[in-house]
Amino acid sequence: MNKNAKSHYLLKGVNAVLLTVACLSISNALSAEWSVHGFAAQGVSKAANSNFINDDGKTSLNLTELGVNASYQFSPSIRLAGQAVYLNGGNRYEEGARIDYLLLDWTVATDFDSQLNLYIGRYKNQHWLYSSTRDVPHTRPSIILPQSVYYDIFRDVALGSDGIALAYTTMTDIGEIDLLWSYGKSPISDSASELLVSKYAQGDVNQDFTHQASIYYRPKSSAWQFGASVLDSDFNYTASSMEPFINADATSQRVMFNMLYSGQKWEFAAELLQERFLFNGFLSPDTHPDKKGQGFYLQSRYFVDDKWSVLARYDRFDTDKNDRKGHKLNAESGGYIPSYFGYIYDTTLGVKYRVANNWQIQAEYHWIEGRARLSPAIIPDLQVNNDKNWNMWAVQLMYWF
Amino acid sequence: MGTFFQFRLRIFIILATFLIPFTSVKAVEVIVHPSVDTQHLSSSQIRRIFTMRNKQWNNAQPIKVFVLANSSNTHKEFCIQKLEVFPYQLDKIWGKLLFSGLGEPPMVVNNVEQMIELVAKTPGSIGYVDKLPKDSGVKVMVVGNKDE
Repeated sequence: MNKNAKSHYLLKGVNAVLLTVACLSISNALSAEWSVHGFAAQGVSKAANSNFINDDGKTSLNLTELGVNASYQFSPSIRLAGQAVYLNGGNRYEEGARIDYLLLDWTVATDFDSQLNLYIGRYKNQHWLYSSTRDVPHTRPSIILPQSVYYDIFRDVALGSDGIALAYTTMTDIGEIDLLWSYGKSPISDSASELLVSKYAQGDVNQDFTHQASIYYRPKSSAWQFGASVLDSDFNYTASSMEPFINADATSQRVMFNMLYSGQKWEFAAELLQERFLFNGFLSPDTHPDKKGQGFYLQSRYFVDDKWSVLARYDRFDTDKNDRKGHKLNAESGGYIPSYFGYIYDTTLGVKYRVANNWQIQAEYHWIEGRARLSPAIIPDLQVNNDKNWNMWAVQLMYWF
Repeated sequence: MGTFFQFRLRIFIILATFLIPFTSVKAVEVIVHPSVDTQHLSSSQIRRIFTMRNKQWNNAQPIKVFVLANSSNTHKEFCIQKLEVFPYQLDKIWGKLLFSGLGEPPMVVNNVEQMIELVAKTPGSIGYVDKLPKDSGVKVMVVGNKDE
């Protein structure tokens, strides 16, 4: 993207956020049912000799996240909530302003121990541990989330959808249970298509639907929480007549388990996934790859005091569970794609400091082996990513209200 | 006289040093507006109220939650004694609700005096204090592990 286009997007993003703030502040002054909140964060990051953040691997300021949200309570059971964000994560996801969520929240049934809500509109993915606020800096354990589960290229697709969602929460004799279900589709722009498929793709990627369900269980008098979720989603690719690629359809399916322990000084989190990805077409009518990838991360946080906390995490993803070292990938591409594109192992250390009530600074370092989970997802960039090992660091200052 | 006073002061300081660790753990009381007809809350029930999972009382009256700032010792004691969670967990849950569109965090009040004033005048409200003056206009809620 050239500089002019970039600043155009930046201005558009900032304008959208400012306009929303202005409108909402006026409305806020007018009515007590309104509520307005937001966040702003700017960071610095570097992934040398990798295209994870940018193509040249130099220190980058492309780590900007701005957002403002508002909600209006029409009645005790109906509220409207929306959030607009401007994001820039370099190559990690599409840069620009967008509506993060805009939903009507209807409390269908409620009593003292249980509640059923229906959400209509653009809802966020609530099914994984950090999915619903992965773009809200101060709510994340780290600046860059474990890519096994929170693959940045799939961010817009995995963050939320336009459709309907149901959430049921109940307290039973054995503890609390949450059930979630959602069905919708996410819009995919042209530049997101490039990140997903290839720099040279000129066609359009569309999502037909995404269908998700999950269950969370918090046993009584326990510091543990356990969860499981499933996802099924279909995509299609409409090729342009000007390119070598052809029409395609693809399916992505996920099964995941997660657990979370919250103690006074320690927090442990783990998510485990199996992801099936299959597509027909694209390269030729006879191409039908069908792979099951597997991954997990283990994360621990230690809260030193009210201000300081430290994080250690190991994250791993193998693109094909029958080819964990990528040898088959290398052989099938005639030696073109190096085997280290078949996996990624990331060891992360991080630190968080609460500067003031609503100010926080976060820093982290990643030691990485392997090149899976980079963009573009289907045709990898081999020029920049020419080594098995790479490192990355990021520092971000964040404010919220 | 002067030396006697200094001696008494020294004794007082020594005693106070021993007592501070005990006296700093204040008993926290949960207070509600007098219109709330629920008499008792289990630990799980009060936790669901303060994590915004439960939005109405037994009689369908909407619940309005007030809290003190995260930095307040009374807030920390309340979290540990009554909710059996740590303040950072509550903060995390509220942040998640607020920035994903699923709910509003509770209203943060400046001090215990304002807490009492707001709970006394807001029907369906709930809050907590470390000391309660007489005739405060609020009702004390019994909180215990009846469900355990």
